[in-house]
Amino acid sequence: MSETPSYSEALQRLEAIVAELERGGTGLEATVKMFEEGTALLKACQSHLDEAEGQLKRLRLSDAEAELEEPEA
Amino acid sequence: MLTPEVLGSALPVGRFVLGLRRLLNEEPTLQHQMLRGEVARWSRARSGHVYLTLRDDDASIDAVMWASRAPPVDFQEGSEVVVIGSVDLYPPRGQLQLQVTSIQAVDKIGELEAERRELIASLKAEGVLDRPRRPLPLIPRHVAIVIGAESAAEADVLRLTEDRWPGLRRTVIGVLVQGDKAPEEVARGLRVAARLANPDHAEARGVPPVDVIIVGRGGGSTEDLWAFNLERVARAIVSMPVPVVSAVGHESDVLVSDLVADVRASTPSDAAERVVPVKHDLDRRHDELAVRLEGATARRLSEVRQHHRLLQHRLAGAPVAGLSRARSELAGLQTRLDTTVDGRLGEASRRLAALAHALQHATQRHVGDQRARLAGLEAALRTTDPRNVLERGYGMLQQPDGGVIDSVNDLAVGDGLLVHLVDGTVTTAVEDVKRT
Repeated sequence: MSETPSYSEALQRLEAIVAELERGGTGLEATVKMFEEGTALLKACQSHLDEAEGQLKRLRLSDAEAELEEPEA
Repeated sequence: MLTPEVLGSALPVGRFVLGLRRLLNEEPTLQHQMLRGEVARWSRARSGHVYLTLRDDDASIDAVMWASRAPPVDFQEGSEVVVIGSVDLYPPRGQLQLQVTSIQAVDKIGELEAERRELIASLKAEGVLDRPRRPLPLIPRHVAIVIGAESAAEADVLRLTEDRWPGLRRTVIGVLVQGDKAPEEVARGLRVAARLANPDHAEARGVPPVDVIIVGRGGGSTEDLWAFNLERVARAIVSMPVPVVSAVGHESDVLVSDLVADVRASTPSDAAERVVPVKHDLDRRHDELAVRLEGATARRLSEVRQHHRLLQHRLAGAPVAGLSRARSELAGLQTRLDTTVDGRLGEASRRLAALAHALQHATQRHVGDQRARLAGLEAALRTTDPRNVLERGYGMLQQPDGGVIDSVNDLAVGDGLLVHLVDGTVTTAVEDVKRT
């Protein structure tokens, strides 16, 4: 598996694909390939967004330090 | 001669002085004013209250510091000080005085300022100030916030980040941000953030590593903010493995932490805005790109089909030898096109259905339109397929050398002839030719 592109890389590539498809003139092979890549990129972008969601933790310094020392879950 | 009327209109001294006192107390420019001057007299009463006189070249004023506010160590007469005080009038003596709530030797501030300059100079000499700054992540996956515990600044940052990105992953490390312990606590808080940014550590905990750190506090006096001018905090910021946003005090406060951080935010709220994008905007951009991608793809595919249709028309008139190969190629292409289009559009519409509510409706209709259009083209394509014609009982004539026969002019009596039917080919000869 190739390395997951960063959000900005994925978004840039997706925009380039959409622009090229909109320009027209791509054949069947290329169109299908670009659509598949575009769909995958869109998914990648979305998963970058999903990954930002998580817990809000509010810790006092001493608690935060104590938590770091705890055995890993 | 004082008439009773004149006497009646004369104010009692007490009312006059109390009125004057009220005026002074209500004048905002005379309250909580910061003044700079020299201590001209200093005396500590047995009660613990300190009576002093402040002066400069132009004037002097008596002042008092109540025992609860008085510093533990006496100031020398002649020392330069900065005080914060409010003007009051002492009614029993009608004496104007300054009630001082805090006093600070100018030397102390000067000393701190000198240290700060020295620190900046040495950071500059080491190249720390000119080192390349890291850009903030476009999408922060885990924001660490080292800030005054339970402070208004913390509340501001949490509220703003939540507004911009509901459910964003954040870890707040509440520290002391003023007083003697502040520099140490801020540095330790940063160290905790650095641990959370360590990928191995994060993986072991099953949380994405911290990829950006906000460090700061709300506004305060120069002295309150001083921890952020100290080497300990500055060095901790420089050593962080991920970008650091310094967010201290108000717009006008520039501290050493601001100079060494990757990004200087003017306030904690400003830091929240710089670090966290508005998620709704990104969602909208994705939705728009999804719709454009579907639309452009559907248009390209229908163009491809139209092109095939033309091809098929032309094939109908082409030599039969090449026809069946071309036809089977075309059929293969057709099947692939169908599975690809239907498969992808099906997946696309399922995915689109999961996208934002506002766009959901329009998007599905859009994809539906494209599918209907493709289905129409598909039907049109089928009716022109020569195989359909043969299936209805027609035959196609061809000369043995390969030319398609579409006119009696191509034939003479005795010519050999191939007749293609739906299930095979017959070889025959022309017996008679009649023009219609």
